[in-house]
Amino acid sequence: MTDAVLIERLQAGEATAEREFAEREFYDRHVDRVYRLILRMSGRTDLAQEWTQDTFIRAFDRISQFRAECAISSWLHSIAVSITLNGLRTLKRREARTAPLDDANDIGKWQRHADPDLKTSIKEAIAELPPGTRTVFVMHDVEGYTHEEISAAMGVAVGTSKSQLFRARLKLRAALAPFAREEWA
Amino acid sequence: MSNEEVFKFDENDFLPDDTREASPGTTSSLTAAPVSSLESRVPHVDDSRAIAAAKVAMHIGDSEIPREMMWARLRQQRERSVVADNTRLRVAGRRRSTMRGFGAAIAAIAATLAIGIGIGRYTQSHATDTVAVSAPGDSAAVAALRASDPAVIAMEEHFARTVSLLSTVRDENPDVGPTASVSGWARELLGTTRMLLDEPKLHDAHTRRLLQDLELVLIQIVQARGTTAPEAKRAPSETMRETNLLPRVRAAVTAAAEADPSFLTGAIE
Repeated sequence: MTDAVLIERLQAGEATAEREFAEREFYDRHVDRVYRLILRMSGRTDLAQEWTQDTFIRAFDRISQFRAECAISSWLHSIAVSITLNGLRTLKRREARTAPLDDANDIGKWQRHADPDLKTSIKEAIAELPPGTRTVFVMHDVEGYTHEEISAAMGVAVGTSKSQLFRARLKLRAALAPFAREEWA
Repeated sequence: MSNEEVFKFDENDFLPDDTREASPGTTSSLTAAPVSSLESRVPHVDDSRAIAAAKVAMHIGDSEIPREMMWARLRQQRERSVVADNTRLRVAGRRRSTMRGFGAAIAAIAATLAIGIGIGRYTQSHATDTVAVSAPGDSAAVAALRASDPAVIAMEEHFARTVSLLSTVRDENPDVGPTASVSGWARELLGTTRMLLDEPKLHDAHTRRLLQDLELVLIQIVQARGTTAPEAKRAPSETMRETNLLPRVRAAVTAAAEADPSFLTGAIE
């Protein structure tokens, strides 16, 4: 079944077995990328699960609003990005009120480990990025989105996406520098 | 792409944590961080190697994605929202029909008043001296009349019976769900609640809101009996907590008892 046929069935509106089948098919096609994107942005599996569900629920509810001006995956991922960044912002605000600031700072970041190996250093460097910069980096360099797609999904200018990617890479290279001396030099 | 889906960024989303609070509204802050100084300190690492390392570090294996669990939860969540939507629609439909009835009643009252005023003016011109007698206990009489209204009494007794059920549900383990007897009890009270909702004399907003919240919780108690979904089992206690239902019903019972201390003796039997 092509994406176009799938969307047509989803947009049919009736809560039929056929629609449920189409929803499952749509979910199976996209869940992996959506989940990975959200997990990479949030750094927490519980949040990734919750926000992945929310993404699909919102997508199914609003599928009638989708116009084929962009790929369905871009549309879906823009929902995922929106839900995740809103969720992170809300969580930070809530945690800041109820927990010491040191704890709140860990939200939206990958869990830190005691051993400062290469993998941990990279994760920490990515986690240290501001949410917007981290989102651009994850979407472009890890997920393979173009700047135009990121711009559309995040509602920022293409130039902003490019400059934030430059900054993210710079920070990443700085984090890798000690290892570059030891392992790559 | 619909703009509704787009997250609204502010500059803080692109700023490091430690600089966020210090730079409200500064348009140049995106470029204010010392990128160039950092660049000069970073030894040369090829971007492609850095990106490859990042991809390895952030790798998420296929087996780590809980697809089935998320799908099951998603379905449950959607089913619950469909049930809630149906309940809202039913309540809205009933409210509309009540409003139509209410409109007809207002029209009838207006017509009666107009006729009354006409008769009054006619008789005044023909009347001898009459003394207007004011009834000192008007408001008390109205209150007494209201208290003696069968619909009001039935509602107050219903609330008194409901308190027992709601207390039982509150004290039960929400993950286990209601027992068969509680479910049957809720079903019986649900019937009465709906009859009271259809009663035109109980149309004030406060009463209706209370009855509607009660109806929703009773529906959830009945539905929780026939399901294994943990969300559905927890739904009655969550709704009770969110709507503050038990204290509101208790307050209604207390107010009724204060107005007529004898009513509780018949209500709880």
